[in-house]
Amino acid sequence: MNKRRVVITGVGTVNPCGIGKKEFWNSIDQNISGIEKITRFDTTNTPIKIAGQINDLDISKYVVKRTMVKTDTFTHYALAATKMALADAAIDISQENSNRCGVFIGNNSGGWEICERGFKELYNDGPEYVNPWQATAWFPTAAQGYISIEHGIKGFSKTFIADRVSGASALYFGLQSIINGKNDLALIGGTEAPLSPFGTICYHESGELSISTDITRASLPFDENSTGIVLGEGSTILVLEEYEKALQRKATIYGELTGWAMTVGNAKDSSSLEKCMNKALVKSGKTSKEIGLIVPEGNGNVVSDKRELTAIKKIFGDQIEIITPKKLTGHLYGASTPTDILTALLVMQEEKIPNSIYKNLEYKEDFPRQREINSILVNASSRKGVNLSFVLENIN
Amino acid sequence: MTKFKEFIKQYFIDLGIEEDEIEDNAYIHGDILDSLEMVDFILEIKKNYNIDLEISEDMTLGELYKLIQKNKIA
Repeated sequence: MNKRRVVITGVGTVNPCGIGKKEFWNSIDQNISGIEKITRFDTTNTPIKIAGQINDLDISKYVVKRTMVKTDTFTHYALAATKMALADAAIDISQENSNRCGVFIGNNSGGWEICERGFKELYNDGPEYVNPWQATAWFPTAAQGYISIEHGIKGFSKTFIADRVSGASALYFGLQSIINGKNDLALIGGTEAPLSPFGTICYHESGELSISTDITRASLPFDENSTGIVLGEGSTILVLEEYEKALQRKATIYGELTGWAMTVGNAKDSSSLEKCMNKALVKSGKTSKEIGLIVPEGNGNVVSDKRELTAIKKIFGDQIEIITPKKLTGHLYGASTPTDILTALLVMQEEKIPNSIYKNLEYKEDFPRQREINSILVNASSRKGVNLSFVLENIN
Repeated sequence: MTKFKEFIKQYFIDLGIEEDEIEDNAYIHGDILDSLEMVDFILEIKKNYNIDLEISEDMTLGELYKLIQKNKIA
């Protein structure tokens, strides 16, 4: 039996930089940041004042009202991104393929708005008045569940709750469900909607978030003046397919996932991240010199960024280029790595590295931004030392 | 009673149920609402009218209206 391969054939996103891949690309290409003062609620008495915030999303275009009223915002975002991704892949989930299609979603913290509603009902009216969908709507698996129900998906599926690597874990295990033959098709991604008073207070407790009020100086990955991670919201969903099946239906292929790895180690030491990147390179059959660009975890936490930079320089030297989408979106937690993968795919497709998110390490030379890039490495790291790396290749 | 009917209709519409599905001969549980929606529906009536409703699986919307009218509770 030939070794199975996994390709990406559809993408969908709702994030602070855009609704849909075109708007997202235009924003990062033109340096339009999605980070702004929070207007979703009054921040006078809450510590987080700025965030990557989604505006102008008409969710009724993507979610029927009957589902909308009983689900949280993080599920709305995931349903919207899924609808876009399936349309982009031009694929229908039918009776023939529904048992061979899975859903793998990363979500770090569930539904904050529905929780706040539940608390109000509990403490204002009494326990018998707590809305009946509270239990299912807040839970991180709600997005996976509603995607499956809406699209009739019945294959092997999972949800991953793993801090900043929630979405990366969904990708890691989801792509392997295709490699191992459990699925031929998988909707993989992540979603997060932490922008509520209660949500931002809880994230603030991590001690990692920026409390800056200056949107121009807020999200500064790999900058020693960074004030911390800027929180963001959104969802990105990718359609992954077994390569031969994608060819059979003449799907448009964005790229192939040729390398992947996961390691666990000390979060302050760079060695486990180095090991992770090396393992992904070995899996892909590439050398470090063949990687054209890196999309790092790069989140604006000075300790995390310093560790990652050390690891990157040990493997790739100083002559490697990186891009940091979080500079414009903030950290999307569950949706973070899927959005980084999307960014990498669009860079390969457009043959252009956007200046807005480009980071110069210690270059002597100014490389041209408009050029073909065929191999990109994407990293994700959690607070407690879980690392994931992926190698994407342009096979067109 | 008219106000009660209007309240019920508006509740269903707010929940996302199509207007043409709200018929007197429709079963409340099954034709109109699923099981979790039923719980919310009963809570909404309790909150707004202080009525503890017991809706059997085979009760139609028309039968609910008759029950309310017969007992003069709304």
